Amino acid sequence: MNDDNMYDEIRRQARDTQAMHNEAMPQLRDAMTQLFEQEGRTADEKSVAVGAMSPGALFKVGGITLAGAALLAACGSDSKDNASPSTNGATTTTVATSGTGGTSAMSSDVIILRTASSIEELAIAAYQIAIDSGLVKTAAIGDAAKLFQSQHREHSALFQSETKRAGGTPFDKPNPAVLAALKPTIDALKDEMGIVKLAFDLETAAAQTYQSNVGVVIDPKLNAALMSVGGVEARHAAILAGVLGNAAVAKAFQGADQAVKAGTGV
Amino acid sequence: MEITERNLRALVAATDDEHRAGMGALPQQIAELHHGEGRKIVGHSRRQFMQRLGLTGLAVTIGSQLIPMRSLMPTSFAADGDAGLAAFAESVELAAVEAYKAAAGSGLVTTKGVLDAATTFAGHHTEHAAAFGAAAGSAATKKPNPKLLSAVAGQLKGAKDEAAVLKIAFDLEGAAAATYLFALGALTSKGALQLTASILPVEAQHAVVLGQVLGLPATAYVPSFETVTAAVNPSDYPI
Repeated sequence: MNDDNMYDEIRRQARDTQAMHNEAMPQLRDAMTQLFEQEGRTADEKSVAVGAMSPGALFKVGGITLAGAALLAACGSDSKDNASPSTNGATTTTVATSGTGGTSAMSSDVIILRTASSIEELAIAAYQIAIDSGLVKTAAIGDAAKLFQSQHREHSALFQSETKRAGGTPFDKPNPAVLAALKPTIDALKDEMGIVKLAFDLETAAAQTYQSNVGVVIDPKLNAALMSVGGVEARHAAILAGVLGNAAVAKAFQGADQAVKAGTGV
Repeated sequence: MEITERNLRALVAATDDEHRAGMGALPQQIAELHHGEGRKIVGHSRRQFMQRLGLTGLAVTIGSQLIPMRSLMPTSFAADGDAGLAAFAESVELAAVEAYKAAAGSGLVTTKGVLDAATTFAGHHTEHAAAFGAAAGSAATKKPNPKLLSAVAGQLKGAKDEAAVLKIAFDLEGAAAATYLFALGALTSKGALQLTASILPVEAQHAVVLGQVLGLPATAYVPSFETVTAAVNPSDYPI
């Protein structure tokens, strides 16, 4: 057992970063601007990113309750919820969508997989923001961010590959709806612990999203594929929770209250 | 990234609070398994089962044991379908509970934070066993997997210090997570699938905590993907 009190050190360094906040924030904003103004982003995506909010389409990432009119179109939630997905391959479901796919109807598995890869891409982007921000001062946290980011790249590649296998067009950009909803939080980041909290929320949302789709996907092979990634996101979350001084293993059963609904933003 | 004893105690205390808070949903989940989708447990043939698993020629490890996976499931498991798998999972969970009890009673674990973690994790496994037992219905044995328990007991007997005990627990948690990934390739009912998917991440998180306490490299407890490599094979560990 290591007797060094890592957390005291983290907090001491986090206080030091406060003084650097004003200097670092412009870099963060630049990174955000890049994310929001990527070349090739469609009008639909931009619309989703700045879309008006509707109380009818709520989802949560961490403690942030998000809402977006664009989600209604993106989720196609009614049609999906009314479908009867089965694990025996007998049922096929299509959902009205908007976004980069540009299609009006996709299988529910494709939508689940596109949502999954969009979350992975968002995590990749978020860790890049963290790495580039100058706010992360603790070497171990920086190393963890790089490791987790590299694993999210692998996860995104898996989900994109599965999307193709399912006959869909892979979604290879950060989820615009979730990103838009998180932008105020990202803009307000002041220190390392804020970044860790954001990462924790994203990892938790990812883990719960994949879990929530188990038993829902039509292709039964995807159940294991989803949780081969979901388990790892839960591991990421446990480590980040520990850094935050929270329970690494929050419950005996993982919940799904932070899950991002399939179709959100894609 | 490492974790201190003091931090571990704090984490365990907070975990236990949340764990108890989460208990409220368990009866509903179990009821769902009995009366909702989980009730619709159907058997399927051994051949279908093996096709779903898609696993041949793999080997699994529990601690230092290498377990060949030449055959996958006894006919009895396949005949019972999801219920058989749930019963097997119940037996694995109960073996984990007994393993933690044995570890705590070994006299080798002297760090309070580690003992607290063992107690908390054993509590989680008890809940998992109850949930899987409910899913298994009449197929549930309510007993620890005998061969798995024997294997772990043998490893604990050979442990010389706290770190060795922790390593056994770390391997056991990894084996549990791998076993449930394995199960996700075979289960068919939505209720059983979702229950298993809600437990797999928790076993993985147990492994993270133990890996951090052991001071293992991060990649040892944060792989890129969960795999079935360390899965406990029902054929080799019958209930």
